[in-house]
Amino acid sequence: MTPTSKPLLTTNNISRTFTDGTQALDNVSLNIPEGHITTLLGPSGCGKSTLLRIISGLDDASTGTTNWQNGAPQSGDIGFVFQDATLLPWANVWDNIYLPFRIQNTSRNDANEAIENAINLVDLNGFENHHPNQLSGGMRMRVSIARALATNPSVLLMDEPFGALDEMTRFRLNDDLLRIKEAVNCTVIFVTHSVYEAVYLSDKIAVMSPRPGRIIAEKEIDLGNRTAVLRATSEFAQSCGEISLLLTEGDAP
Amino acid sequence: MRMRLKDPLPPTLIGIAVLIGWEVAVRLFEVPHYVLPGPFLIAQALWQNASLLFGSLWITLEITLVALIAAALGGAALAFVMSRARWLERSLLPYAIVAQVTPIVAIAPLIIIWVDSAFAALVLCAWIVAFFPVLANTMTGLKSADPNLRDLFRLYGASRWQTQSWLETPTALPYFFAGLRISGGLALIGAVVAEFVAGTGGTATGLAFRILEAGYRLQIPKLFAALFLLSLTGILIYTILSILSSWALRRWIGAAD
Repeated sequence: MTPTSKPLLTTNNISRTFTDGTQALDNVSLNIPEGHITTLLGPSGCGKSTLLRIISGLDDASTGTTNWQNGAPQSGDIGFVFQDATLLPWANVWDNIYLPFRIQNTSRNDANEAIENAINLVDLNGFENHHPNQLSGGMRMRVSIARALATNPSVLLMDEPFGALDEMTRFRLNDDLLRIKEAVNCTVIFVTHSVYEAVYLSDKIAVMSPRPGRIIAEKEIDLGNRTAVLRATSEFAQSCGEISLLLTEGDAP
Repeated sequence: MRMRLKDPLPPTLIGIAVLIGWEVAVRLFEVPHYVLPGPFLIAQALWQNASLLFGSLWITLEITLVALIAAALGGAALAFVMSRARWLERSLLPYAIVAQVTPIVAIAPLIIIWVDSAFAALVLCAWIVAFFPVLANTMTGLKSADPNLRDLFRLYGASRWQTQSWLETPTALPYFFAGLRISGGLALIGAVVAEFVAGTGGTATGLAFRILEAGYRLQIPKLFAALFLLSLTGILIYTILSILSSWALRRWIGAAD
C-alpha cells in the first residue's frame, strides 16, 4: 500500500448499542484508503457486520459519524455482497443484475452494456438466461458480485461473502476478486473471520476485539503479487501468525 | 411444488381391486341394495340418471368455481390490504378468523334467508369457507421475503411500491398457490354444505340436493352415483389447480431452456 493513498471514508468514534442493550461497537475510528482492500477481521459477533451495515447506511450508529471524502453516496455508489448470494430465485442471471438499474428506472437497453460488462468481469458469459438454482454456489456468488459492481460503485462492501463456500471455490473467488478489483479499480471493505483469507486479500487489516467490537490493531500488508504460491511462503505464514497473535491477545480478558 | 401423481398405475390397480372386492362382497353376503349397492348397480344408476345428475353437477360446479375465483381474488386482495399496515391487519384479521371458525352449517340458513338470489347465497357460503387459506397463506408469503433482499432493495433506494411488486409479491406467489389448492377443495365442500342446508327450497338442484332427494326416496344407487360425481369433481379441481400452479411457478423451479 502506498502511503499517498487518501481515505475514501473515515468512521469517527462509531458506537452502536441495540435496543435490547447489547453493545455491538465501541468507539470505532477507521480510515478506509481509496482503491485498496481493507479487511475487518474479528471473531463471530464482534460487530464487524454491524460496522459494514452502518457504513452502507442500512443501520445507524448510536453515536459517531461516517465521513465520505466525495460527499454522501447515492443509489448505486455502494455495492453490497452478502454472506449468501441473495438473488431473486424467480429471475435469471441477467434480470438479477438488472435489479439495481430497474430500481433506478433505467431502461433495459440503457443498462445492457453495464450488465454485459459485469457478466464478462465475473466470467459468466453464456449464463445470462440461467436461474439461480441452475448454478453452483460459487457461480451464484459471482452473480452477486456482478450485480454489486454493475452500477460502477465507488466502494464494494463484502460481508463474509465466501464463508459458506468450500476451500477450493473460496481460493478461486479470492483470486477472482483481486483480478476484478484491479480491473474496476474500486475500494473494497471485506469482512471475514478467516486470518488466511484476510492476509491473502488485504492491503490493510483492521483487527477487532470480541463484543463490543473495538479496533485493536491496524496492520498493513505488503506481500507483493498474490498467487497460489504466495500461500506457501514463509512471509505469508509469518503475517498470518502475527495477525493470529493480535486476535488472541484481543480475546484475553 | 408438484403434487401430481407421477405414476397413475398403482392407484388405478388399487381402485380396481377395491371395486371388484366390493362387488364380490355385496353379492356373496347378499347385502340389500338400499344398504350398500355394488359398483355395477351404481354405474347403472349413473347411466340411467346421467342427464339429471350431470345437470346438477354443472350447477354445483358453477357455484364452486365462482366461489373459488372470488376466494382467490378476495383472499389475495385482503392479504395485500392487511400487509400495507400493521393496524389494518390487527383490525381486520379477527373478523376473517371469525368467518373461518364459525361452522358454515350454522350460518348458512341465515345467509339463505338474507340473500334473495339462491345462487348468490350458495356462492357466498362457499366463499366464506374457501377464502381463508388464500388469505392466510398470501399474508405469510408477503412477509416471507429474504431480509437480505429487503436490505438490497433499501440500499438502492427502492420505493415501497417497487419492493412490494418486485420482491414481496413474487415471494408470496408460491404461498398463494398452496393456499388456492386447499381452497379448491373447501369451495366444493362449502357449496355442498350450503346446498344441503338450502335443501328443498325449490330452486336448489345441485348435486347435494340430488343426494338428499335420493336418500329420502331410498334410491341408494343413485345417491352413490351422485357421491361418485362429487369426489370426481374434487379430484378434478385439485388436479387443475396443481397444473395451474406448476405453470405459474415454472420460473421458480427454473425453466429449462
